[in-house]
Amino acid sequence: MYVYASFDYSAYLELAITDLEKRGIAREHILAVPLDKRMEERKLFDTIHRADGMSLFDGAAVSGAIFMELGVIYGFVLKWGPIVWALIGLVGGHFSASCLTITVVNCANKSWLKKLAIRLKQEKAIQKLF
Amino acid sequence: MGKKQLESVRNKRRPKGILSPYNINFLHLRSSWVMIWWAASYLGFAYVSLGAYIKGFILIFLEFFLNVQSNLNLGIFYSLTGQFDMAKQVLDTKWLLFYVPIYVAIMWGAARTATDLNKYSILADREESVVFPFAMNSLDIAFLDKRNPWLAVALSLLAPGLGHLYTHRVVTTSFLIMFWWVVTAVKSSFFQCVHLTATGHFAQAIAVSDPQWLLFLPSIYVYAIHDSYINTIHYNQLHSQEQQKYLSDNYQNANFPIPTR
Repeated sequence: MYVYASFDYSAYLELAITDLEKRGIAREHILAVPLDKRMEERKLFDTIHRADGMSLFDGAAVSGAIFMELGVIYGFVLKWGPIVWALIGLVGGHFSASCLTITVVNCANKSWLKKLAIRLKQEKAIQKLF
Repeated sequence: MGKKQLESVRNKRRPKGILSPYNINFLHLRSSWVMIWWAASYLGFAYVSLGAYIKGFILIFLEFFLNVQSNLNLGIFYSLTGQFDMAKQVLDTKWLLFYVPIYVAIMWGAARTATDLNKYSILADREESVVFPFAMNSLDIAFLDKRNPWLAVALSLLAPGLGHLYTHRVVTTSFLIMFWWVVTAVKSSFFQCVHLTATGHFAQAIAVSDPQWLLFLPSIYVYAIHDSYINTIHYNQLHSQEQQKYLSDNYQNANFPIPTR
């Protein structure tokens, strides 16, 4: 009899496996198979499990910091003072850069998917020839 | 097949990271543009982010020292609000030009280091270089686990540095940032300013705060938030990688009867 289960990587996973071993299932009878995806499109949001070195947060943080800095500066001249304008700058800069990144990445992913679909069709056509 | 290098040699030659009880330092992919930005916003933050802490410490101190000596932030403040005569008056030319060469060189250096470390990060992955996931001595403990990056963001918002404490970057990033945050907040009367703003006394809030010091704070806050977020994600990823390697090494018996249809 085989029992299948999928898990996230966590310390609980090791606790579960060692529990099985304690209950008398030998290590040789437990098979761990990492579930890796072969190919992935560029993701907008990092998850707690993965990230590809590019983050939606990068551009947003840069833009947020710049506009926050400007908020502090002009806050001294404007009515509400530096704190309120810094917060407005942070949220505004962060939000506008996020929107921009989302649009750009969505466009890039679409064209990438199109290219892949075309290539798959070509490969199928070639296979039919033989 | 040729001879394969010993695993111990591979791990030393292309290390992915190292855990010490006080700090976890590891390589991961980074955008060099973001590193240029952090070096530009605050000398030293880029190097701290990359894990080059001694360089980072010295550069952060240098940023404070040169900026305060030359009144640079005040100069920026007066220039951007159109008070150019005040800017000329306030900038101290005895110190100002020290800032320029260091500033430019550090931005270049941060970008170059980021690109180099990206290469070594990929090589370490391909070597399947292993990290030891637990470090403990008589004074402190650090380990790899799963952490929520948004909680790191929330903690950094409460007090810059707390988000790094959450992923065991204890002395190096966490308390360093917290120290400079406290210094800056006190010198700029930040909390008084917050109190006065919250109670609607805007004119007094402006009067009480010092732009020379207050201008440091946006960089510190946003850097702490961004870096703790990115750091937590890659900390999680390192944990997954390590556990994957451990499970593949220990739970993939060659004689396991694979079920066939």
